[in-house]
Amino acid sequence: MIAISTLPDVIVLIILGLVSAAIVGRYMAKVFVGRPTFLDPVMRPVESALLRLMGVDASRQMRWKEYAVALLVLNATATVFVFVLLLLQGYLPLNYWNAPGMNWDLAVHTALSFDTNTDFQHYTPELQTSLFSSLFGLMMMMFLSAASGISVGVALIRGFLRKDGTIGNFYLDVTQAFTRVLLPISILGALMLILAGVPQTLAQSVNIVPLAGPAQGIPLGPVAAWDSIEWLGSNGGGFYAANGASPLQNPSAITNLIAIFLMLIIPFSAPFMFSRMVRKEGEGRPLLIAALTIFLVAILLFLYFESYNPFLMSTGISQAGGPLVGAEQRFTLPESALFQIASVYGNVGSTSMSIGALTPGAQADLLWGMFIQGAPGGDGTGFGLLLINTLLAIFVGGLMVGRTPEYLGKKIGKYEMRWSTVVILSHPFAILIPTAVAFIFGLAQFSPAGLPSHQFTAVLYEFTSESANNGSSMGSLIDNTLYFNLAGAVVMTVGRYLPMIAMLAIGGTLASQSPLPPGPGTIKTDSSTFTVFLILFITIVTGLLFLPVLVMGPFAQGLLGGG
Amino acid sequence: MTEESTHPVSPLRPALVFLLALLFFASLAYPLTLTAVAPYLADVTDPGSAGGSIVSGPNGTSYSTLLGENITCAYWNGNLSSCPYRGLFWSRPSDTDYQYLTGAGNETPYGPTDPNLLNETRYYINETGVHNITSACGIPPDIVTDSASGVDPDISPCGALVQIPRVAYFTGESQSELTTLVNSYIRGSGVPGVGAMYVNVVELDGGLIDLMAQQGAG
Repeated sequence: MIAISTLPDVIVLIILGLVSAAIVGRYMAKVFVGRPTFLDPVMRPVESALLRLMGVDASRQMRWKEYAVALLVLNATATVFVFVLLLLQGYLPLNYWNAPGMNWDLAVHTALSFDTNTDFQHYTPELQTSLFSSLFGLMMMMFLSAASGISVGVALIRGFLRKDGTIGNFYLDVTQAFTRVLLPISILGALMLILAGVPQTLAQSVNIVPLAGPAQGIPLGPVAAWDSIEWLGSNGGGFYAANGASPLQNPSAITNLIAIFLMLIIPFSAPFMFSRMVRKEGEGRPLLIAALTIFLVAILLFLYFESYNPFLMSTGISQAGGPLVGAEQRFTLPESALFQIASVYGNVGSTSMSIGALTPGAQADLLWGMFIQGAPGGDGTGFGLLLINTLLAIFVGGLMVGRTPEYLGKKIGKYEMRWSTVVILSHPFAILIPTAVAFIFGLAQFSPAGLPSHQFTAVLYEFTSESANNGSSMGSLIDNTLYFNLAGAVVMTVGRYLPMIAMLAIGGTLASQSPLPPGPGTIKTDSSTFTVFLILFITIVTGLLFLPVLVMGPFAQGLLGGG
Repeated sequence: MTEESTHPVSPLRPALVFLLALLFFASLAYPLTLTAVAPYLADVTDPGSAGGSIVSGPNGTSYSTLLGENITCAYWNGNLSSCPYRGLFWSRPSDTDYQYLTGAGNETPYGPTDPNLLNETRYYINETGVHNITSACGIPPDIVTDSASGVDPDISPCGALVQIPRVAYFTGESQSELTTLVNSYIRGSGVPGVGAMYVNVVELDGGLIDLMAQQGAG
């Protein structure tokens, strides 16, 4: 069992994170309703100049379709740019390690992976990306995808505030998500990481003469700057292949805590922003408590499952601090665990442990977080998914007690339900069909082979991670193949843009309704009863959709494994 | 709220301009500014860390305190007499042999219930000889299992202490002197309650080599 003495820093961090989330959430609400904030003197001139160059009238309000087109065109433009960059990187500068241009299928996967906030890496960054690609392709994309996610989340919330059918100006939103939220917090995060010992240099290599073995070069770069937006933007693509486990990206227990803080701050600030924006302080609470409850239960389960590996008992190794297989010595088990849960439940996808080596229960726990996607989920879109779950819960709850489904004065009708259902059902389809195809046609190769249940879990994990736009993976699957690159690209795109379009469509129709006064038939959505109902609703729906595959993967591995 | 215009602008121009702005602010200004301040900032707490924490070791060697090295005889099948590292403290097993570039990103390969994991762990227990040692430490898991990064520089204090009998045998140093040495290299995060205690193997071995050189000279 886990010694209680190793828990305090993890508990303090969660409390500190929630307090900070409340502050950031209120600040973001001010930014996105256009109230003055302390960054105005610095950022306002930059933003107006930029919007003028873009030829945009920032005060012009968009309906949802126009908002969606603007979002898609911007992201498509950036994706094409990054795709070309990755193809041509062999001819471009800042390529100390001679990374060749990527194959077209890998470049498609990588460009879409970073655009969809997944950051799934079918390549080894040290060997296969140049510093030029990292800076001008991938790091740019990490800011853009997070800013796009925040914009969509904000636009959905605006649906509850308005009655003229508009949901904001995309260009203003995406600009301010960058200038007011991501850039300032990234700078602060990177400064903290530099203070705590993360490398930050433009040197791409430093040579050493080790005690053991021949002289070798260490790949280096602006790691702290990369880390900060990787974690803050719920991106999760590593500067190094070992990602959050790499001692260069995450050198100490202190940087590990900073990483967790950065990963959780924007997702958990969303319910506070929501309360402020809809001007009903109590309405964010059920959403916050639902996300937090699912999150905390996940940590406790992870610690329970990962406290020791029963299959290693016969070796006689001491597992007092966890099995430590695929974990780093400098972190305690609760610290590694909180990083892993924050990264997967917050849809970041960075890793501090080898997921393939985790106990089956812990693997199932991570899959569960990616099935839900909204506890708390990624920047902006995580909260959007939580809201969609809430709309479904209200609709189902309303049917059960015979009350009119309405939320914050807006009727939940056929249109909203159709989009919400599409979002919820597209997730299992996007995961299960390509997983089944991979096995039916023998497209999945593994190194090392491993047990069948482990193989199944690895492929399931691959597509779940891609559909949820998470980006973490289990190591044994050989994924840089034509099938996994192209199927993955489709799954990531569907997993990202279908929910985004649904959020904008729902926001748009909500925004075209005049608010109804609350009647006697209105469900009290700020009550504790509703909070419990919401948690149960999410748990049961997710269980109904995904329990069978959990049985075939991790559960089978736990029950049948070992020979 | 202003009226919606009937002629929306083409979305391509704002997309291209915004992309250029991101390339300037996010890809250039952001990392360059941080790189400019990094050496000064890093020197406040941990000099040299902005450049990868490179320090010089004994006999003209240099290393990064963040990265482990392939100091182990666990792959020599018990044939210690020809292994150059028999008299040093060993690192954690790594399937990538601590290659910083080419071996990067190879995760711990075996699943949690894979018989190969069991065999591999037993193999390392046998090679490190820790099963023969009666100590309060038991068999420390760190020195017989793969890390997540493949380049973990650290082992647990126990992981170092259980290696003392072998190191003493091959170096001729006394066990009590080695225990003092190991104890002087036990580190933590520096903040109470944060992080696990660890020993950086490369630093410890550097200290051991220095200690033997001093005694050789004296």
